[in-house]
Amino acid sequence: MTDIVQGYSFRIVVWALYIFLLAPLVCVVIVSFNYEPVQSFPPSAWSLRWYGEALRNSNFVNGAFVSAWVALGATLIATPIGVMAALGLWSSSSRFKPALEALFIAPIIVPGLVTGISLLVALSAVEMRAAPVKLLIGHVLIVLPYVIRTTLASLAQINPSLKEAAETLGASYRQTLFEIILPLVRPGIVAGMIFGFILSFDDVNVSLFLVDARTTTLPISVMSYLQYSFDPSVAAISSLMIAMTFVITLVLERMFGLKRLFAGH
Amino acid sequence: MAQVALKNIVARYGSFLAVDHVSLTIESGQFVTLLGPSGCGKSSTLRIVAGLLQPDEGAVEFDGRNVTAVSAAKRNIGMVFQSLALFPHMTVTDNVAFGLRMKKMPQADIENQVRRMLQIVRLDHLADRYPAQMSGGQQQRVALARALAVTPSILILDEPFGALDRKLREAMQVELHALTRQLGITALFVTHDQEEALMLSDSIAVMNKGRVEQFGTPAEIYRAPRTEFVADFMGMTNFLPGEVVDSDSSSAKVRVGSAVFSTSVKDTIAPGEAVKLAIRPEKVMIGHLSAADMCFLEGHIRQITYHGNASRYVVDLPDGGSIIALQQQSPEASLAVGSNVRAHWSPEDIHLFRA
Repeated sequence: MTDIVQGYSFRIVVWALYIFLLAPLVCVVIVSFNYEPVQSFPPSAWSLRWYGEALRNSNFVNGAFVSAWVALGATLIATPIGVMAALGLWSSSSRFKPALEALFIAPIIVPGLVTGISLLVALSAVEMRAAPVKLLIGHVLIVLPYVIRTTLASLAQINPSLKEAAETLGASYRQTLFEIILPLVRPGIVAGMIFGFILSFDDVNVSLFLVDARTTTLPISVMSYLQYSFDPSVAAISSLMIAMTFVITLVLERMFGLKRLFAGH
Repeated sequence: MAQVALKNIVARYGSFLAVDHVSLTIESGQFVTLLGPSGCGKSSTLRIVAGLLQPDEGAVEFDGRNVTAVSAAKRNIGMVFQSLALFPHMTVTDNVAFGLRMKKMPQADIENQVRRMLQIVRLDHLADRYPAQMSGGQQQRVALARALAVTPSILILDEPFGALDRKLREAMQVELHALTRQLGITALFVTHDQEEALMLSDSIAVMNKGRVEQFGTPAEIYRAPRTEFVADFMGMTNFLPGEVVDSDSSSAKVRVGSAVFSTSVKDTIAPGEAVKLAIRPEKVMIGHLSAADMCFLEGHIRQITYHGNASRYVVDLPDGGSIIALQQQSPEASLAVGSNVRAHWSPEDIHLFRA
């Protein structure tokens, strides 16, 4: 009897959590199909007009391009650095290893706002004014911890004897790395890249201080737009971002199984 | 196949002496086992031969050539790891071919060699499987084929059968024995299992606390252990404290409690010296009487346990010690717990060690 009660109450809690997490997203998607020029819920008439409006808004479109390029560039720069850092940490037996690991993960823990302001100050000090470069540097910091973390998680699952086995069979360090270790941690690397990409694409906090009038990211254009108007084109652009994240997560799950990537860590 | 020699090898972990001046020669084509309890230095010694651990002192020679400074990758060895360490993302074929590929062998030769190896370990029908799709015994054979494919100077095996169940373990032992003899392989094997060592080896080095206590053929080690440690490790579990009362160069009289036994010795032990008598449990007989030329001690049976092919008796002696006897016959009715009996054995089954 208590089992059934506990079973039911557990399920209720889980469903309540799901609703709490997902209801706002569902609301945004519904509102995006509104016809009226105000974000009313539920909509009184349906239409796709705000998707059209959103895609005609040059601030949004330019922002989307900047965001995509920055996210892609940051991911491509952060991945080799992150993989090398993870490999170094993995084979290190230094007593500073835990401290180094914490240091590499730090950008996740330090508030984005602080990272943004610090970069602004530091980059101004060295006369770096180009917004795209500043954004790229900031976003490398966003992606890096995710690549390191997921790669380390994959490395932790590798039997250390594999390295020695390859060595006794005549493989050099380079051959062992490319033939044995990297193929085995590839799922972890790809997962880190995809998470990093999504979080970079989506970032406001760090970017806020690094954009300028000509180069701005999509989330920041949306934010500035919201200061003056409250029409459903913002909901439309948000819905598109939700759809993109959803598709990427689905592909990731299909290809590698998300559960496996985080299991054991 | 090569002759492999260890010369005065020393290895330390911090202040712990893992390998203490070990010298050992493995003749070409010989199967040598390092036998000992965990922490005796056998695995460190093996890793030094493989080149995975650098000794602090001493030299490793392959066919008289000093390879101490040569990396594992360039020593041309084949190694079977305790965890097997098969590459999980490669098929059986790719696993076996890996070492050949690293040695830049032409593709056609690689294919031939892989096919030949898989035939030898009878896995040619599973060439395209991944390790995870195979049974424990099959994975074991892949590891063996991978190590042998490179025609190594020496095959090194680090407790490869530790994880297998008893039946499979025995089957693999038989297979490894046949394979190494058939191919004339120089092999260095590490185990803590004395039966496994006896069965597989041409020679056994019994190790304790980083040193080789005795190096000899299985029969020598089993029949004539040179130290108390080796005797104990080879299943000679009865140790009786005694004192030499009379001796010459070939025999000694030893007093144990109130009894005096005569036995042959290899070197003179001076009268008055404290010794330990070791007797194998399977050499001890239990009965109410004993023949005139037998040594015996009287006591009463404390415990009898049945072991299928043998019965094990624990006989308590009046002076507080006890003696264990392992008998092939099923227990006789007159030999029950509590009854007074004679534990007796032949004088030549006594081994004397200085206490």
